[in-house]
Amino acid sequence: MPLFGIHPRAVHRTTPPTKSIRKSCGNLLLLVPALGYLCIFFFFPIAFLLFQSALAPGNYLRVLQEPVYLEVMYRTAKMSLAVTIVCLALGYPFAYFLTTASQRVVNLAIGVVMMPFWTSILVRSYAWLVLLQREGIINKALLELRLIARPLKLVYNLNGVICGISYIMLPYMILVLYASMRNVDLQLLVVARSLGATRLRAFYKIFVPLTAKGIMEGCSLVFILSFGYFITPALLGGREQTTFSMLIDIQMNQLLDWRFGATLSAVLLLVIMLLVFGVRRIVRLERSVQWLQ
Amino acid sequence: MNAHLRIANLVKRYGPTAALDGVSFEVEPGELKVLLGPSGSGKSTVLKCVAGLISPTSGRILLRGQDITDIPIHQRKIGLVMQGYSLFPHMSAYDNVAFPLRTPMHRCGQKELQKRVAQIFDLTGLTGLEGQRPSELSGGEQQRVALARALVFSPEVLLLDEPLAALDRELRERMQDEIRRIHTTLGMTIIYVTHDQAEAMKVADRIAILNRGQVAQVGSALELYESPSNEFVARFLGGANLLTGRVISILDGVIKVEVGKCELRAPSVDGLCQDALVTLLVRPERVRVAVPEADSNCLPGTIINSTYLGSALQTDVSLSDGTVWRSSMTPARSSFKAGVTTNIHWQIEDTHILPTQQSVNSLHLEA
Ligand SMILES: Nc1ncnc2c1ncn2[C@@H]1O[C@H](COP(=O)(O)OP(=O)(O)OP(=O)(O)O)[C@@H](O)[C@H]1O
Ligand SMILES: [Mg+2]
Repeated sequence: MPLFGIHPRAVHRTTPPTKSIRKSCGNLLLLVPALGYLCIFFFFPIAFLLFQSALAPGNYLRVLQEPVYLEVMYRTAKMSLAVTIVCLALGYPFAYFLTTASQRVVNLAIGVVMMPFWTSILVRSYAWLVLLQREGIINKALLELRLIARPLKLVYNLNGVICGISYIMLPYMILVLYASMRNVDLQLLVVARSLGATRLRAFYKIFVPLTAKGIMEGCSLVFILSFGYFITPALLGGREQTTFSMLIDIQMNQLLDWRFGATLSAVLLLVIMLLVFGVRRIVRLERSVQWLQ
Repeated sequence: MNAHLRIANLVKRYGPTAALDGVSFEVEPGELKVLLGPSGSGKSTVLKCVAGLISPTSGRILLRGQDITDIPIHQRKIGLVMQGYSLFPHMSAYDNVAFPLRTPMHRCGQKELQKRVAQIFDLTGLTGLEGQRPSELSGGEQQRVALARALVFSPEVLLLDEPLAALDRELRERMQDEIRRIHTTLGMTIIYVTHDQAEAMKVADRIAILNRGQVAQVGSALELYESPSNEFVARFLGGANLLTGRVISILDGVIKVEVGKCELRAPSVDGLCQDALVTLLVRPERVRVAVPEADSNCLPGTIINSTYLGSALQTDVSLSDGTVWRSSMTPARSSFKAGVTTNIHWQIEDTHILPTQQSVNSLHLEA
């Protein structure tokens, strides 16, 4: 056998292309169950919804003409923004702490962060009622300490909703931020300091820009999830805190106007999709860091 | 007391193990000092202590006679280039280099900043690459940016941790010249860490050799190579042929050493007395095979192999007790056959006595 010749079997292995095509066909087959599931339980209902709304195109005009819908949309956006800011303010320091902690502490902390996922959202929202209501623990404690004369109104208003939703969104924010922070070389901070930067300066000139992508991703995730949120605002908010998804619920469950409900859903879907694409456009992921500097 | 930087008895412990175990040396103003040592000998740890990345367990670091051991890292005015360059990936080459001049510590006016960055770009041959991100630069260019960034604020001392380790050989040799050129242009005091002895000898004014967290010897390349003070230094810097023997006489500056049944002569050193055990060192370049010389040391042996390397003919000779000595001669027209019995010779003045006694092979050579 020639030392530098091509092994006959090696040639054999690359020649029949049919084999590899057949193999990838086999792999594609693995997608069928999941795709089928998505088609039946996700794409089909959405298509049905869009179809329903298309049957009464005049409804779209109604959304624009009656001020309540745009107003609720605007208020929902404001609430989502507030939730996003709260989550970022709480989540960023926490995730930063995780990047500097030892592996044992990280495992423990991630476990604690994930714990709320083990209980139902309903239970967790009611738990906030226990804390925040007129006779709740916080008001009682403050009254006992004579820090306040009358109970504070902590729930059935914007405050209650922001507390409740932020609490549910915080784990998502932390996990997304931590994932992006883990890729940052912490040595860069030390080098920045040796070049004359204070600890704080090294943090916001080096660390924050390098996690800008994670910040944008975490914020858009939380914002979008909060935007369509239903249960928590319904439980912890007042009349003022009606969100757009609650309007949909009213149309479908109380007024039984499915077509208009479908129209509202389509509008919500459209707005969220525009937001997602808008964020992607602005961020242009890698270049985002320039924008933060 | 005119040392620019003085390291005094530096100790750094990680748990029970000591990464540095009493390191002391001095760096003169404008000197390029190389810290040389095997992996894990504590070179990077010394640099980290000097730069302030870690604080030593005990010991002092003095800059111009002033104790800086407890000064925080960002106030030390010490330039640092780390092993992997650590450029800021989200900034252009220009912003990387300008970074120190925008910190409160080294802040200067916009005009001054532009002038200084332009100067340093010129000095390091980076002009034209200002807008590039680190990911868009070659390894050599990244290295220059890291160097420029550490130089731009005119630090008191520049610390380089294996600055060229990631470059290929040709580029490495070019950058060695470059660093020497920058060093002479700026008259900068530099500590340069490497584990490559050829690189150390090329760039250094003086070399400090580190071994297991201790300084084994400090000196110029010539001093370290020609008169190492212990076996570690002798072996670490180039090839070393070593033999242990007993002093039998000291006369007219020449001592006679009995090694087994052979008698070897060497220039005398202070502090030796009769019957003392000494270790003899002969560099391979000084050992000649089968070429008898007048008035030289001579040992019989058998040739194991002989390799033609172009610039040298490298011959391994087994002595009668099994020790292998290496000779590295200017190549003749022919090499030697293995298995041939021969004699090796070297000049008396090329025999170096290692002052510290260590247990090399105690021999019983047949005459
Ligand atoms: N953070 C640390 N924790 C524990 N031990 C450490 C730590 N840093 C360094 N060491 C130990 O200190 C010793 C010296 O390390 P150092 O990094 O100074 O070696 P070095 O001479 O730079 O080696 P190299 O040439 O491989 O870079 C090593 O034995 C290392 O294991
Ligand atoms: Mg090192």
